[in-house]
Amino acid sequence: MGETRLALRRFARRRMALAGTLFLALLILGALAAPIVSPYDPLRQDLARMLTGPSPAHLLGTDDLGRDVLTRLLYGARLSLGAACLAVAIATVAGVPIGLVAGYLGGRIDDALMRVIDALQAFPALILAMAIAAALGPGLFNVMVAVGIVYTPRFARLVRGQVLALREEPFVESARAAGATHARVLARHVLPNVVAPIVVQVSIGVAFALLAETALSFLGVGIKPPEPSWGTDVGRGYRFMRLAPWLVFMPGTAILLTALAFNLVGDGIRDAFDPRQSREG
Amino acid sequence: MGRFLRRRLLAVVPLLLLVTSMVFSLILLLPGDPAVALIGMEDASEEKLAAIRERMGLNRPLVVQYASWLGRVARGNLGASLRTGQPVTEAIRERAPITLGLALAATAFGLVVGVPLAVLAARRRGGLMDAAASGLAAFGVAVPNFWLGSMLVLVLALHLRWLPATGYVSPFDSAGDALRHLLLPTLTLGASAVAEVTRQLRSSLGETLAADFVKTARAKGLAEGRVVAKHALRPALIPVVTVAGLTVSRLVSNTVVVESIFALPGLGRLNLESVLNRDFPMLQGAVLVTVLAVIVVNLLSDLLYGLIDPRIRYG
Repeated sequence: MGETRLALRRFARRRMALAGTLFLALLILGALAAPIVSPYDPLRQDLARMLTGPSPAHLLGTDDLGRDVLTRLLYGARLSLGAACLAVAIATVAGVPIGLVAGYLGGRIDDALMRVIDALQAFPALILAMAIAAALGPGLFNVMVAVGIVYTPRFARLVRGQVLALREEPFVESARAAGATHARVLARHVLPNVVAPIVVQVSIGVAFALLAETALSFLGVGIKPPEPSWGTDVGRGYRFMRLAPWLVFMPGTAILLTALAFNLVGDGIRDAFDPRQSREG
Repeated sequence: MGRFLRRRLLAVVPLLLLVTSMVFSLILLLPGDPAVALIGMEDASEEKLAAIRERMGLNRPLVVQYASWLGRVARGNLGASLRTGQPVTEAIRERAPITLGLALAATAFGLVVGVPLAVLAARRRGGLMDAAASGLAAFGVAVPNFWLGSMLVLVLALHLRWLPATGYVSPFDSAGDALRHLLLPTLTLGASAVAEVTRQLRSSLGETLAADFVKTARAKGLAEGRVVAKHALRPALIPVVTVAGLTVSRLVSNTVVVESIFALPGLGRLNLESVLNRDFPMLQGAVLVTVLAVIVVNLLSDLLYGLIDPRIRYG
C-alpha cells in the first residue's frame, strides 16, 4: 500500500501525465453528459444549415447533413473510446493468462505459446485487424475483437517477461515449497506483482486501439455511418475538405489529443512505479 | 557468423508455417457456410455453391485443404480474384513496387530527419531542442495518419497548390512528376518513422554520450561533432536497428491508410479493396505477401544487428 501511495505522489508530480489525466477526465465527463451539454441530436439532419462554419449556435460548425459537429464529437467519444476500451479488455483477458502460463511453466509450453505469439506479431497490425474483421463480418464488436486479437501479443510478451524474473524470487519459491498449487502461486504471488506494468500497457493500448479503430472506421471497415464515430466522421468530412476543413480537423484533433493523453498517462504511471526507467531522464 | 545465420534461418521455418496456417485460417473464421459467405447470399444457388466448393476445395478435410493450398503457394500460385478473375500473383506484381517505393522513401525520410533531430536533442538534454524533439516524437506516435495526410493535402495541395493532392505517376513515365506525387504520401507515412527513430536514438545516444569511451575521446581533444559522429552514433544506433522490424511493420500497416488517401494503387490498397469486396483469395495473397515482406525485413535487421554487435552473433 505504501508503495502505491508513493507511486501516486510521484505521478502527481509529472505535469504532462497530470495534463493527460485532466484531459481524459473532461472528455469522459463530456461524453457521458452529452445529452445535457448539447441541445442537438447527433443524428438529426438539418439540411438548411449544412456545412456552416463555427458560430455561437454551432461552436464547431455543422457537417454536410447539417448535424452539429461538437455534438457528434461528444457522442462519438462514447463509441470510439468505448470500442477502444473493449478491444484492450479483450487483449488483456487473452494476453495476461498466456503470459502468466508461458512464463511460469516455461519449457515446451512456453516455446509453443511464444511461437504463436511471434507469428501473430509478424503481421502488420492494421492489416491483420482488417483481415480478421473481414472474415468475422461487419459490426463494431467484430472489429474490436480483431483489434483485441492484434494487441494480445503485447500483453502476453510483457507478462511473460515479468513472470520469468519473478518465478525465481524467494517469495515465490517459498510459496511453492509450502505446497501451494500452481494456480494459487500465480494468482496470489505472481499476478499482484505484474499489475503495474499491465496498467501501463492498458493505457498505451487504449491509444493504439483508438488509432486502429478510427483508422478502420475511416477506411469503411469499422463503425458504419450514421453512428457518430471520430474515424467515420473524418472519412466523411474528407470529401468536403475544400469547403469545410473543420469536418476533418475537429474529430482528427480529438483523436490526436486523446491518443496523446493516454500515452502521457501510460508514461506517467510507468515512471511513477519505476523511476529508473523514466523516459525523461 | 555462419552459425548465427543458420540459427536465425532455421527459426524462420516454424514461423513461416504458423504464419501461412494463420493466413489460410482466415477463411475458417467466416461465419456459417464459407461457400455462401464467399459468393454472397444473393447469388447462392446450389450449382454456384457446389462450383465454389469444388474450386476452393472446401469439401476436403482441413489438413488436406491447407497442404494443397500451401503446395500451390510454394509454386507461386495464389489463385485468382473472386470478383475479377485476375490471378492474385499478377495483381501483387503490379502493385508491390508502388508500396515498396513508398515504404523506402518514408524510411529514408524517417532516418534523414530523425537522426539529426535525435543528435541535437541528446547533445543538450533538457534544452529547447530536446523539448521540441520529444514533443515532435510524442506527436508522431499519437497522430492518426489519415488526419495528418488530410491536413497536408489541405494546406500544401488545396491552399498553396505546391503539390498534387492525389494520384500516382510511374517514374518510368516522368521522374519529376512521380517525385511530386510521392512527396505528400512520404511525409504522411514517414511522420511515425521520424517519431520512432527520434525516440529510440535520443534515449540510446543520451546513454552513449555519458559513457567512458566517449569521455576519453573528448579528453583527447576531439571536436564534439567528431565525437558524436565517430564514437557515439554507431553503438547508439544498435537499439534503433533492433526495433527496425517493428518500425517497418507499423509502416506497412500505415500504407493501407496512406495509399487510400492519396489514391495510390499499391499493395496496401489491394489489401483494403479485397477486404471491402470480401475477395478472400486476393486477401489471403495480399496479406501473405505483406507479412512475408515484414518477416524478411525482420530477418535482415537481425542479421545487421549481428554484424554491428559481435556479442549477438557469438552469444
